Amino acid sequence: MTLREDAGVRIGIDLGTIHSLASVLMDGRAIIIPNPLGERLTPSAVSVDTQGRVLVGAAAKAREVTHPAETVCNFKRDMGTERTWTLGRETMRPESLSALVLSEIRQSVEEHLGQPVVEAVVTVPAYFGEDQRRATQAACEIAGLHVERIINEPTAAALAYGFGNPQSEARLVVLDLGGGTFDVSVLEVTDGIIEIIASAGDARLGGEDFVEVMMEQCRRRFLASDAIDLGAHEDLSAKLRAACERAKRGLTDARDAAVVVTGVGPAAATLTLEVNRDEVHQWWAPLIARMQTPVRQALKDAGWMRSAVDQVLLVGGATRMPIVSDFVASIFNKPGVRELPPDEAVAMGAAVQAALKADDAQVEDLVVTDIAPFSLGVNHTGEYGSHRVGGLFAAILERGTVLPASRSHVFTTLDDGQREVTFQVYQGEHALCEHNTKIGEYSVKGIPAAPAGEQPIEVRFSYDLNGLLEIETTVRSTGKTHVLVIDRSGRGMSKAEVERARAAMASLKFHPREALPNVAALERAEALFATITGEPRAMLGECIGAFRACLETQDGKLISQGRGRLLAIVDRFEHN
Amino acid sequence: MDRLTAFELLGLSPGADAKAIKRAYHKRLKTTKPDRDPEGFKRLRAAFEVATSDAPALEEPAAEWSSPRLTTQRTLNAVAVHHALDEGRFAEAHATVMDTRWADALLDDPGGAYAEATRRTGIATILDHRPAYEAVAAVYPDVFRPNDPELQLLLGISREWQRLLQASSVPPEVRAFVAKCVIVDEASRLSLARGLVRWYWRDRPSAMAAVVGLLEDYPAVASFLYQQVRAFDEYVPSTGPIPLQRQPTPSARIRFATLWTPLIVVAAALVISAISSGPIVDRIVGALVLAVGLLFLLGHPANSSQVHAGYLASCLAHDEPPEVAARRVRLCRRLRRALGENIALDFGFRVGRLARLGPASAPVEDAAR
Repeated sequence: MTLREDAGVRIGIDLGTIHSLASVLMDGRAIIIPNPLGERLTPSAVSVDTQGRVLVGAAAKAREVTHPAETVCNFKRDMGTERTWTLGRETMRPESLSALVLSEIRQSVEEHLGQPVVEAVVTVPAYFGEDQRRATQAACEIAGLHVERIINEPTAAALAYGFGNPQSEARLVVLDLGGGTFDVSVLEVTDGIIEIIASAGDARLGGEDFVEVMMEQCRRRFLASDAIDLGAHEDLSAKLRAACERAKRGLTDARDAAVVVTGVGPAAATLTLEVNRDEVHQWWAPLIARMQTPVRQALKDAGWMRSAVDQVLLVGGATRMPIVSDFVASIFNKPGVRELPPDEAVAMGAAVQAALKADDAQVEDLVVTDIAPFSLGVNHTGEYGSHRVGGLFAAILERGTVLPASRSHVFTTLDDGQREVTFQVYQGEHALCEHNTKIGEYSVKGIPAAPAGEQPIEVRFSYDLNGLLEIETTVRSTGKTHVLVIDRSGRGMSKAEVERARAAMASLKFHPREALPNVAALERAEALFATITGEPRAMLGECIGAFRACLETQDGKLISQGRGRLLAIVDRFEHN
Repeated sequence: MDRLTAFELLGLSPGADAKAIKRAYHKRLKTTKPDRDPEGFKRLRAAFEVATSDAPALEEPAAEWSSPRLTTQRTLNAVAVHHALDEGRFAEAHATVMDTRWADALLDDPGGAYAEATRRTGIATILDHRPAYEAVAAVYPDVFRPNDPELQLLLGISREWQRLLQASSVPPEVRAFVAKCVIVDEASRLSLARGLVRWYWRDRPSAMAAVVGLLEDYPAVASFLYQQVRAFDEYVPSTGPIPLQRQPTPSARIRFATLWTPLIVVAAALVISAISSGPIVDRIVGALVLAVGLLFLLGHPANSSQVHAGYLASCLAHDEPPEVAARRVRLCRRLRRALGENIALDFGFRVGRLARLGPASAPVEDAAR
């Protein structure tokens, strides 16, 4: 044990599109911390009930089927955008929704371990840009979590692997296909040294896209066969989504599955569509084709041939799909390896990173070097004869540079007697600044008057592992230096906005935590009720009624008995 | 940084080969972690980059990517086996494994992979039917060693035992065996508990028997599982034949049968003999009553697993260290074999009581926390 009782714990959090979870390093192992419901994964879902009280986690996820309008899932995909959702009377940004999930996780950890969380490491997809990282940082601040380090999910997975295989020496490719994102990282593990060499990804390709393609195809089939458009209503499409998700999971273990949508239309009809794996794999072929691009990009950046790869590590729940193993085999000519539980590897790696940051003795021999996922640079103007082309992107610190790193570039004045230069700082890979992400702006004044091009100005970028960018601009002739520090906190959302969001969160009414198991059980049962038919449905209805009656008695023992009975029934139906 | 400085910083002479450069870099990396010493790391990294700058970067020609796929038949075979295993088509996987093509498909370690595949399919085949299990066990006696760490690891990774525990077609002995195999980590332990609870839901006595079976070798795991099962009982009290929770001393009913019934029978015989007149009638009636009592005893529904479950329950309910409980169950079992079930049960309780009064022996193990 290296935890100090008074110091609290340092945890790793995988803030996922579908699920979130926390892990802590204890006794030389990364342990997943279960939530109050005893589950290791907490769904990243937020919902409000009829009384305007906020629900987070399993209870909220179950309401996605029964109350799609009051429930938000998949908000991670909109991190860093201005999109808002209206939940009850509140209007929420993705940052606030993520903050709700984060603070739920923090509370679970603190209840489970009985110690405060002093620091957390949160993971993001490697392909998250600065905007999305800022938004994630803002979410942590709103949730009141002390987060200094945001690491890439594949890096975390590699850390978990390196931690578990300290002796190994291998060239790895980590494929992380999560609910909403696809990341590829190329890395080398040597004796506990983990070197990330390149990474690439697709920020909008994940398990959810596979479901969506399936939904669209099923919607068309149902439209043709039953003349019912399941996309017409939010309720129906929520049911179709749940049905497709189940079928997708079914296809992991079997060659055939059925998409069953119940309670359609006024007659509460049940629609069934048989699908088989080959057919569905054809639907998914375009998605699989999209997966090749980042793989190629990452290998190219690393300067590796495909044949140099020793092992392909699969991470993320969506890699369980057989089509993904086929894809891996076709690219790398070897089967992918699921050495760690695909849903948990990232959180485990984040816990390792948290321990690394705290100089924990358990990870003494582990060293990790990570890279800049994007190029950083400034705008400049090119002069070609008498033509001037503005808004060009000059990359100063290129993607793939091992961090922390400093790189510099020398610019000159453009006009005769120019006294001032304005630099705009961008992140991205496009040759034109307007296609990249702007992350800051500053001006250097007091340049001595001189003919154009005769005042060299050196711009030095220092980028560290916490995402802190220090820009040092020196006018060589005067030796005057201008320093600008851009860090993640408080950008995107301003400090005031974060404070406002925190205040808004504090004023939210939550379901009392002790009642959470009851609510979750009830919501799960009701969601199941909406999707099954016949005698089981009637039986389940009875049980739900009985449990509601138990709740009204407010007798703790009776309620816990009733809940157990209800969950046992739900479990049985869900698994049969 | 020039090359000379770079090599100096790495502690090498210029012209060292790529391997030496990498080794030197790694060695210094251990003491110059990017987290701890950013400036030192920047210098080290710069030196490494300068030293390796003349190494050619490889890039696969674009044509390679668009050309017909690289995948060989070997890989396809390997992937087919993976799929077959994932889908539970074990017979098929096994057939592929047996096929010589499999050895060809194993890229690095044919021996090891073959053994693993055999184990996996061997274990999984149990799912289907008992003859297969027996056949496999006969052919591969080494496959089914409960304490084999490799097997445990394999079961832990594949989570196959969870399927085994949940499937209703699997014979109870096999499930007991599987439960015995699984002592891996906390994650496996938790999901083992989940599987066990499901089994318990269907068939309480044999699930409890499996827990008791674990008690001897893995007291901490057994007591953890027992607590899980007990928690389930708390939630679902009205279903199933043994409400352990409501009966913290489950022996009461059985003890009544074993201890008091003979006494009542003897008392009844005495009363009858006192009120009856003829000595022959007296004897006959007395014998009859005794016979009825004995029959009642022999036909008592308490079977061994129930007895053990009850015994385990009472030990754990009294917060005894699982090791002590394990010792008692062993003793109780030996007695049962020697004396017959019901007597052993009662005797076991008495011995248990005595043992509790005796000196504390083994160090108390923290129960599965």
